[in-house]
This record gives sequence, C-alpha cells and structure tokens, in this order.
Amino acid sequence: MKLNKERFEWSSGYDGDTVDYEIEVSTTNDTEQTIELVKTSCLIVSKEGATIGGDFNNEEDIYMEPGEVAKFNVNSGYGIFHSATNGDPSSVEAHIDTTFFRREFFNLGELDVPSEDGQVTQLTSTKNVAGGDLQILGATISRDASEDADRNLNTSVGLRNLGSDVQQKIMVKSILIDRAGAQIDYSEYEEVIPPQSAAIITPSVYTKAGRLKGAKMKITVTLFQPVATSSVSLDFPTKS
Amino acid sequence: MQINDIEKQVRMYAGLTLVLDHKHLLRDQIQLKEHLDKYGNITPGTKLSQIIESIKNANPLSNPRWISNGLVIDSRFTLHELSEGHHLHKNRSSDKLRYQLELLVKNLFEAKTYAEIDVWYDKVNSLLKKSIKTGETLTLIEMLKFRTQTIETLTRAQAEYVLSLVTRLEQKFSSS
Repeated sequence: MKLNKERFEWSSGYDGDTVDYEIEVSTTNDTEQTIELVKTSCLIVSKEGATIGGDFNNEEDIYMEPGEVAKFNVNSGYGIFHSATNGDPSSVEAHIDTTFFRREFFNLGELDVPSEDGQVTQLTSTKNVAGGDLQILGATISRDASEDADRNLNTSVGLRNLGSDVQQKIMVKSILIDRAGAQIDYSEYEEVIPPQSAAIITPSVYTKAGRLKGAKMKITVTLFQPVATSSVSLDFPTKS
Repeated sequence: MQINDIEKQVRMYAGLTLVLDHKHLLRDQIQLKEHLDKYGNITPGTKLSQIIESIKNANPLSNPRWISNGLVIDSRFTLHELSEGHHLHKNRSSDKLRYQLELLVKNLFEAKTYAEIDVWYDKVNSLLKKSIKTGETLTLIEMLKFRTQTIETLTRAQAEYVLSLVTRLEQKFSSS
C-alpha cells in the first residue's frame, strides 16, 4: 500500500524556540480486507542524519473497504528545537512507518449478573480464534460489595497467545443489559499480548444495585490483525 | 468529581471509555474546577488531555487514556469535537464517496503517464459503483469534471484524456 503525501508542513512552536510538524498521508486499500485501524510511527531526521524528534505507536481511526482510499494523520511529536534543524525547518526528512489492521469480532456470550455481592458467574467455554493462535479461556463476572447503592461488576477474560507473533491489539467489551433488554452501561479494555504469553483483560461497569435484578452481561472480543505495512520518507516540508 | 461521574459526563458527548491503571487507588475527588460550568458539568471546550492531566494529578500512576472500540483516542480533542465525530474517520460518514473522490483528484496531480491516469480511472469507476443513488453519482461526476479541469501538472493532451474518461463515466452512470 503506497503512501502519498497529503501534507508535510512546519510551524513555529508556541514558545518561538521550537518547531512543530504536521503530516497527513493517504493510501489505497489494495488488500482483500476492510481496514479499520492504522498504527503510525515517525522519525524526524535532520539533513545531517540525526534524529531530532518524532513519535511512535500512535493509533488512528481509519475505515477502508478494498479499493477505497483514505487520508490519515501521522503524529510527529511537538517542540523540536529550532536549532536542531540548523535554522532551516524545511531541511528535515520524516521517515514514516505504518501498519494497517483489520478487525475481527467475536461474541463470547451473555452471562447472568451475580444476584448477590461477593458472588461470581462464569462462562466456561474455551474458544480458539485467529487461526488457533489465540485462545480465550472463558470469562468470570464478579460483583463487588459496597457500603452504598452503587455496584461495580468486573468482567475477567483470560487470553493466551499461542502463536509466534505479537497480538497487537485485543479489546474486550462488557455491556450490562437490564432485564428488559436495555443497555445500562458498558466498558472496554485493550491489551497487547506478546507471543507465548497470556493476559487477563478486566473491563468493569458500574450501576445502582437495584438495576441488577435479572440483568445480563454481554461480552465481546475484538482482535485487530495486521494486514499490511507501508513506509515512506518525506522531505521539504513547507511552512504552514 | 468522582471518576465514574467524569466518564458519564464525557459519554454525553461520545461513547468513550476511561481506562485506568490502579483504578482502586482513585477514590478521591478529581479536581476539575477550572473545566466546570456553574452547574458543575464539564464544559464542552475541555480537552481530553486536560481531564487526563487532572486524573494524573490525583494519581500519577493511573496512566489514564480514553478508548473507543479499542482505539486510543487522541487526547487533543475537545468534548465538543468528539460530539461532532471528529475522532471518527471520514470514511465512516455518509459523505465518504465525495471525500474519497476529492482524495483521488489530488492523486491526478502526481500522474505522469497515461497508464497512471488509467489506474486513476479504474479507482474512480470502482468507487462510483458503490453509490446507490443515480442523482448522487451524477453530482459526484460533475464535481470530478470541474476539479479535474484545473490540474496544471497534466499536459493538454492528458487533460483532454482525463475529460474523456470523466465523460465516459457520466454516460455510463446516467444510463444505468
């Protein structure tokens, strides 16, 4: 996936001694997958070849069906000393690396909410996803005791990465639904899981105890799987 | 303001979740005074980064971040910007075809060969097929016709070739 420059501009920082760079690139989704996330990293390098700034592991929302085009921001950090550019902010290069992800969604199921404080309910099934690389070992919902009418419900989902690649982003979402089917609250939590290791992801929701009678918790898991990478180097930023 | 109340107020603008490390250590009130209106609500001009800063002041180890559908949201957005969906990609909007065609017009500035123009045509053609309303498609083609006439990087012959391709699209989609 070729990256095209849409914008590479510099402006003086708020204190006058620094420079900020703004970068936007566009690309066409030439994969067979719908892309829903891009992670970017960027190094700003002086013409002498020294890294003078940048940013990494940034996430941007993106949506591209196969064949579609999209533009997105690349964070490059802020506050690079003007002197680091040898007085010429337009002389730097930006080295940009991107990884594009597709989304895979799994509904783990619905569990009854524990009827009493200090109790738990459990989902005992094990599910293998991501081509068998990721194992989801059930889930537990626990209900915290409290001195007042508010209650926390914690969902714990255990995941093992059995593969040889990092699972770069896994999101567990818990949605609390009352007995009439209306959503009360929701929460989500995301993690990176290195190869041959595990994680417990524990989103928690919060509501009044009175609303928990007959309530259920819906648990979903979303994986973001890399589908393409692309890099580009940009030079000659213009003044914005 | 309590952590749960901060999350509730932000959710009045957008469906975000506040993720914290060591949440159990954050039992005290979070000081947000300068970002509250006279009714005690967080003002729409407040940035997520300002809320994050206040939480960090209460517990430096809390590592607060706002996420939505698994994505960490850029903390430079204000609540008002979030309510307008600035954190969502434009391809998720109903106007995504126009947005993508505008991007494709920019690609033509880089085109140097007829083969590149043909690739451009294929992309535009495939995008327009996604439009389900004939009226909308023709409006988009009209926009293309207008925008592609001002591309100075094309030679005169290339510009005429682009115009012929856009006219071909017009005929194709007006008869379908």
